[in-house]
Amino acid sequence: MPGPTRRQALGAAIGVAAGGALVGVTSASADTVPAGTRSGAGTAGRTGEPGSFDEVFKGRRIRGTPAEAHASAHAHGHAGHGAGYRVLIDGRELPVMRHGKSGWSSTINHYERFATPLEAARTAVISLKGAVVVPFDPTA
Amino acid sequence: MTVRKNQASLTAPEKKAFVDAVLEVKRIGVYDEFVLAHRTRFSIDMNTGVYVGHFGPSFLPWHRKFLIDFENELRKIDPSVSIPYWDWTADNTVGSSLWAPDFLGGTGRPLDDQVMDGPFAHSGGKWTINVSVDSRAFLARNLAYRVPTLPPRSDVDAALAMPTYDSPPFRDGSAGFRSALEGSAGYMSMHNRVHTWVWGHMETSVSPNDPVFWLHHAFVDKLWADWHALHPTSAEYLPAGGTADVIDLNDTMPPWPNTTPQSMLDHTPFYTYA
Repeated sequence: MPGPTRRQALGAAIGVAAGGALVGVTSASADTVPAGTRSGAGTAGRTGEPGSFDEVFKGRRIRGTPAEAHASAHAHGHAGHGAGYRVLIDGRELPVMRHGKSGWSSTINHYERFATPLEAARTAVISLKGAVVVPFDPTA
Repeated sequence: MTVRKNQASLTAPEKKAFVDAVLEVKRIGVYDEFVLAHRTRFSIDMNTGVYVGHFGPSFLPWHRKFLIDFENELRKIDPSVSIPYWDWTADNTVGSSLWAPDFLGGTGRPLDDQVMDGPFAHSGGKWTINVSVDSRAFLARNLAYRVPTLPPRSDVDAALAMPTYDSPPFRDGSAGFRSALEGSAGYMSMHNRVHTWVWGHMETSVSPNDPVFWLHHAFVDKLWADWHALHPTSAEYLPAGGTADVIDLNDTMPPWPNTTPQSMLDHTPFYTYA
């Protein structure tokens, strides 16, 4: 399975833009390569929750996994927080948030709504044009 | 008295005074405190499910206070300055004077969306992105790329015609003026659509890194004032009290210790609109 290139891994490690050869290329066709087992990335599973994904999109490794429901998530029962799903771009966390029925957003695209975390991750890659995510969570 | 004007009517000296004040607030480190506050608010909104700055009824009073604080910092530098508003229903093209090199500068270059002209171009040495969620040190934009058009006046008028400020569940998709204006009642509409139209930093949780943030929100704020004038008998703000996970009329809005939606309903002690 293709992983991140050496240059991307190095870039992610030292915090510089490392977009690889596809930076600036806006064609979305044929540059998405499955990079592992995908299960229901674009569709809700039986629980209504998005499944995991793992792919290379425009030269960037994007992964998403449903997080275990854990006690640190707030207890009010709203889905509007990022604790339920984890997205990584080249190994760096992209905070995502679910807005009830209207979809998902991320810190890179906070004013749009996406049907799935995969769409949020892909759009963040399009936005970044090679820049890397710098995680930030004041509540961590 | 502070008077906020339409950016399209500003004289060349007024534009220069505004830009110079913004650059000075940036130089002394105060500007980035506002970016930090916005990033923090968005992150806490994301992680707690208690929506204070966005996605709920306090979207409008929270940003009203946020702009008042920023305007006060500008006026410490130059008392003649106020935040202009950008009527994006009228000045709705990439050719607007708003985006000229003597004001905010234009769109980004294709390679990385980097803004290359105007006072806020990274190459000018006066505008480095310090508070962010990604590694871009330069201001980024891609005008009209993600969504080709800005909201039309008909959308604004339809929102202004709604007699109810907000309604349960006080979230994305709630019926009423607030949700319609914020843009959470429809995909890529209104306030949200403008952020997306500008793209670059304006699409992120650190959107105040782009000075157009203030002009955009000044117009959103003016529309709230316009709505109130159109509906004098409607409740100015809802919910009134006792609502879990929502800022009620007399609840305190973080990060401020003494600011409630009630305290923000009348803008006229702070500024008027020309």
